[in-house]
Amino acid sequence: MFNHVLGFLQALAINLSVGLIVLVLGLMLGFVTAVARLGSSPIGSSLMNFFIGVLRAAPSYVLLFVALPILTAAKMFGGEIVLLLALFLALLAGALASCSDACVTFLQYRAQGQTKQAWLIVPNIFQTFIVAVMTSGMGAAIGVHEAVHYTLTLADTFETRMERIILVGMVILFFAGILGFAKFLSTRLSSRIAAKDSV
Amino acid sequence: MARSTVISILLVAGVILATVLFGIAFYVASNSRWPVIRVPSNILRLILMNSPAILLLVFAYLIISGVWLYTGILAIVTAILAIGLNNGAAAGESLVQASKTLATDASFLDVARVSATPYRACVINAAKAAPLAAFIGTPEILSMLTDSTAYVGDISVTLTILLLFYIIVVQSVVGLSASAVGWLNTKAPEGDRV
Repeated sequence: MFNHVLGFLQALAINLSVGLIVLVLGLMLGFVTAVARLGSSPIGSSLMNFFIGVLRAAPSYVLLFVALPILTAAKMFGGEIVLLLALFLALLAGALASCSDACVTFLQYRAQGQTKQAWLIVPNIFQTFIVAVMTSGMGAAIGVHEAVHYTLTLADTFETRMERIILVGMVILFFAGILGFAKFLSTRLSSRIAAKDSV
Repeated sequence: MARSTVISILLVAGVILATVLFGIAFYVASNSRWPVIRVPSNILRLILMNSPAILLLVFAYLIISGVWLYTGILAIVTAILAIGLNNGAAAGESLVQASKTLATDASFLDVARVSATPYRACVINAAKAAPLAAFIGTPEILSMLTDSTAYVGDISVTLTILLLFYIIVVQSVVGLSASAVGWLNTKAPEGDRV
């Protein structure tokens, strides 16, 4: 039992790491694209808005299956690294679009001198991280050894369907608890920033 | 190919419809005068909206395939229920949060109008989550393409079809939902329009 919990937590660390790396990359690229979207060139701005619109509309799960064969064919990496890279790329599209939107709002508020309103970017970015961690579970579909994959592999070793249902149900409750609490913190942070702004 | 495309479109439509209906159902249940309905529905809403969609799909698959013979149609229904519940819970939450900002006698139309933006985001997310259905064996286009070409053959055509198809579908949902929000706004009193 203890080994399973430990194994699950180790697998969960992959979800969290993936979420964090995707967030950092999304923020860096999001800031650059936000600057371009707010730039003086109408063509550059329109092109960047179109690009972000396409990224926003592209489903992560489809991107996962698009990225995997391209990376496999490139033969630059092998094994689990290819799987992780495919997952990064799939998640990055959504995170980049979301971070770019948040950075646009941030830069617009800064330009208007509403500094505290601009810092509402922090809870927005936190939300992006939560979404990335939640969505990283789709890595199980290509064999990334993250928490969902660990759960499903463990469930396969159980003899009865009821045992599997209970295991998956418990993991759902675990995720709901952790992510619900994280969202609660994010909402509290937004409220505190907004309250400071109104003082 | 044509069959899978039709199934994918039906799946997206079904998932959107389920999201809208579950969202309203969760909102109505949260306003119930009976705690026996209100409290469990609130707990269920919080659990469903904070769960990874892929786990909910597996959970629904394990339950439904244990009761009935798991066919293609049942896989579609399972996916619609799981993805609809996941996004419908978030949509219901947006209605609940919107109602808290309004007077207690506010009509449902008022609540819907205030929550239109986050509700719309839930509907768009549901459309984007529809391809996840392939994970539990729903015979839609992603499932078909990844099965038939299996990373060999003409990958570029496969990728183009996959990406373009889903981007067009999601963009259509974005456009249609914007129209729906616009229509909802026309129903509001003139001073309240956004």
